Amino acid sequence: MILTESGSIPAIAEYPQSCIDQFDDLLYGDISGAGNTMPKLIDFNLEPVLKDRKRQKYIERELKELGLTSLKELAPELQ
Amino acid sequence: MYAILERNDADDEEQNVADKNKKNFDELTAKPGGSSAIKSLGIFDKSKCPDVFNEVVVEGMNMYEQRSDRVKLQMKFNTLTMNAQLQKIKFMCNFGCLIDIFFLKATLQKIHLQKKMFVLELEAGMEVYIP
Repeated sequence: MILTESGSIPAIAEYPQSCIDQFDDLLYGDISGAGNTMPKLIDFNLEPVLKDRKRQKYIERELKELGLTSLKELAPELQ
Repeated sequence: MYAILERNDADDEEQNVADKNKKNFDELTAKPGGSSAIKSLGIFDKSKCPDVFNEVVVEGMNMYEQRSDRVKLQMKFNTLTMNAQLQKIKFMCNFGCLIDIFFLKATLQKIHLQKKMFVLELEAGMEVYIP
């Protein structure tokens, strides 16, 4: 957070404040067993920005395993 | 006669402490989700070393520092609450669904709680686990 404020390191994802607040409530909130934490964690993970970011990370990891950096490398003739 | 009066005073004091603890407990259970949380904490579980060996004397010295019931209960409540928070954060981290800033926040909070627990247990003269 501090590093991105100076602008020297660009933010990886622009998470909305509501998403951050939701996570803070979950992290610093009252203690509750796994039965209560789990639904909150699922709700938190349904945030569209977070989902997109996870999808992006998943694609990057899969491409890395194939030795590629982007999907464009699969069909260079189409570029 | 004085002995009987002192005994009565001591009984009253014990009763007051018990009433106060009950009141605190009732206040906590009145919060939403408080009852289940406290039950799951196991605050009345006396199977740990400080409870079992509390009154044991070795070579004229108590194994554990002797404190009032109220202080012991408060200490136990703080420790268990912190431990429950720590378990929650560990669960969240191990679940593998936290990324980026959320993972960092959770990890920092985990370290913070572990430090606090270490100091709390050390201050209370309990056994401290050093990983």
